[in-house]
Amino acid sequence: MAISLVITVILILVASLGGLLFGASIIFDQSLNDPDVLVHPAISGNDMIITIYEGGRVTELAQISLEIEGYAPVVQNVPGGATEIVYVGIASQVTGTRAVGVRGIFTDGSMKILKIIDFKFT
Amino acid sequence: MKNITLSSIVIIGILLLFLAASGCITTQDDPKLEPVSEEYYAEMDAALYPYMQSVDEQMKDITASVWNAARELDGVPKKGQAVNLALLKLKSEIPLAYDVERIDEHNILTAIAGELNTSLQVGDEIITNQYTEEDFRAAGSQCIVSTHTEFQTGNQGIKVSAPIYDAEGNFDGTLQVILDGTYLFSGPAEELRTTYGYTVWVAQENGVVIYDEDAYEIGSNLLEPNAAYTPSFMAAANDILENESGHTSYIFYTIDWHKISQTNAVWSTLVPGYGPTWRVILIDNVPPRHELIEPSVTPEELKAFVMNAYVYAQTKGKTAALAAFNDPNGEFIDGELYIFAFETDGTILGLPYQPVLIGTNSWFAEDPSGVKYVQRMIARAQQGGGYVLYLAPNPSAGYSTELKLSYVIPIDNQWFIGAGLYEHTAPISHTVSVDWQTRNELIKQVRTMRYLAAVEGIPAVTEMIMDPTSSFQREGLYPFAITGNGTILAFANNPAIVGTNQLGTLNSYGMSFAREGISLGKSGGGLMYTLAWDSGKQKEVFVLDYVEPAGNDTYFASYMILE
Repeated sequence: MAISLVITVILILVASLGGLLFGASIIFDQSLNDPDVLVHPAISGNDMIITIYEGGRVTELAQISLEIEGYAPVVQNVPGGATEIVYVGIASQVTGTRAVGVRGIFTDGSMKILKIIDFKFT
Repeated sequence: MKNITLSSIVIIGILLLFLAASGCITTQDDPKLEPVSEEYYAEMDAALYPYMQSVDEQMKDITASVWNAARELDGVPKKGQAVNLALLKLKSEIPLAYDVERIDEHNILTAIAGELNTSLQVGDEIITNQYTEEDFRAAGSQCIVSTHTEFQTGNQGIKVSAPIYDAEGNFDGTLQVILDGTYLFSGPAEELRTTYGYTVWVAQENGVVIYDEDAYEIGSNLLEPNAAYTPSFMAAANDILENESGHTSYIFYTIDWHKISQTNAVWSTLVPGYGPTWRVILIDNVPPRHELIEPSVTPEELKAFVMNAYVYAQTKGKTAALAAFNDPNGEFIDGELYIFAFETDGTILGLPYQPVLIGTNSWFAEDPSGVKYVQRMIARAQQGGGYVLYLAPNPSAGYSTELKLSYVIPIDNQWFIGAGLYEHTAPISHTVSVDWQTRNELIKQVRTMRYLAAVEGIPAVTEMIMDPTSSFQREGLYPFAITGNGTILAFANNPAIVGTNQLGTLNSYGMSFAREGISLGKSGGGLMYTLAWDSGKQKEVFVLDYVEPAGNDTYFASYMILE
């Protein structure tokens, strides 16, 4: 009797854990498969280019804030359908290794960090 | 029962005959060896001689420099400015040197002139190639040359060591130089290939291969079982290891590993110092040069191909993306294009045509000129991505070395992906003429600038860079100095840009030579290719650039034009 009880408890625990992991993997996959906006920043000489790829809210993206560690954020408007936003001259004084963040500002006023990555400017 | 057994044997025999006839079973030594004339071997010997001579001269210069530097350090305290300067000077004399180390009598590192990203620190014990006073006594007045070794830094190569004595003449430790063993052989080998149409491989007398055009063969042992070795190759290898010189023929795979054919070889023996002897084997198994092929993919198409894979990796996740990239029949194979993937520590994550390499670390991988191309790709990825140039064997062109243009992009801080195309029409693609002696002079020039800066100060060196009559100027080399913020301090070839900031200057591949060069200097220095503006020719030219940090956030560099 006691053994059956223990087995039942173990089965319930395993099932719960499996369900939890399954749920987590769905959430994880959904976040990957349906990003709000997929972007990628890159250094190009003294400029920085933000490439906008795709995502569930790409049509709602109104502005992008580019944030380089140690420097003030710089916001630029995103024209409808734009696939590249160029920050001219923004890296002219930037050297060394710094974190770079790209924040999206959407038409409803909400904001979301779209990308954080470390860059070696020199 | 006996009849059943007999019929089974007959049926199996027929099946085997059928399989053999269909080509599913081949003997390893097919085709048969054809006789080779003495005149043919004599021609090969005539090509081997100058090759042996150039390797021998390099080793003689290196061992003489190490021995002389050790004598200058006799009686000098184990650490301090005098030792540091001596190590820098020695490194400037040996372009093949990765690291120059002063080690005490207990094998503890007391000073080093090496790559800044080396894991070695003063105070560490040197555990590879420990030599005692007795070893040096046995060597007499020769340097000890190590066997091919993987060192603590991760670099592979050869170590040349000489003893140092204190003021009373007692053994006081050693001076050691870690050499790029591959470039010792590959530089003159390129000349051998272009001049005579032969190539070489080199083995220690214990059977360990220390040089081969196929870098993955380096470190293998001829005396150990290997499925790729044909019976005639094993017989030839034994002959080579047992005799100081001779000639032979064997059946082996062609360089593309697709078929087997007869390879003819002549060999001789080189004694590089006290230690192992090297068998240098010259072979005629070299694919013929192929016709110029127009590139089938443009750099823009290459970038778009990688961007497509970037979106896939970001939306599907790392595991699914790597599975797709590593599928040789998958959607990320397009003609000559495929996606490769690396961790930012150099570990290979994706190579669809060489799955056996996945999981291995390629941080120290070098191209035939000594450019650490994986490190260059990582540096480019850490700028957000872009194009990288290096030399690589082209499988669709008989594995001849060509200029490869890759585009890389980081997925996150841990890994990046890329793809490459062969720049078939680039001037250096077919003539691959990174002249090894000029390349060595390039490194010596920059290291001399670094040494002089340590002795006389950086301003004295920048003045010398601007002076076309100064002692370290070399024809065909273009030295310059740049600060860590991108300002050119000296550049005699284009004085107009001295004092200007060059971080924002891009070539037609979107590379900033200033950002790339400073980044390379910050990581300890090294070689890289780029496109640079030639004011004389009024066009961009491919160049090989060498950079070293000079201290005080200043970097010395020089380049040679490759066309």
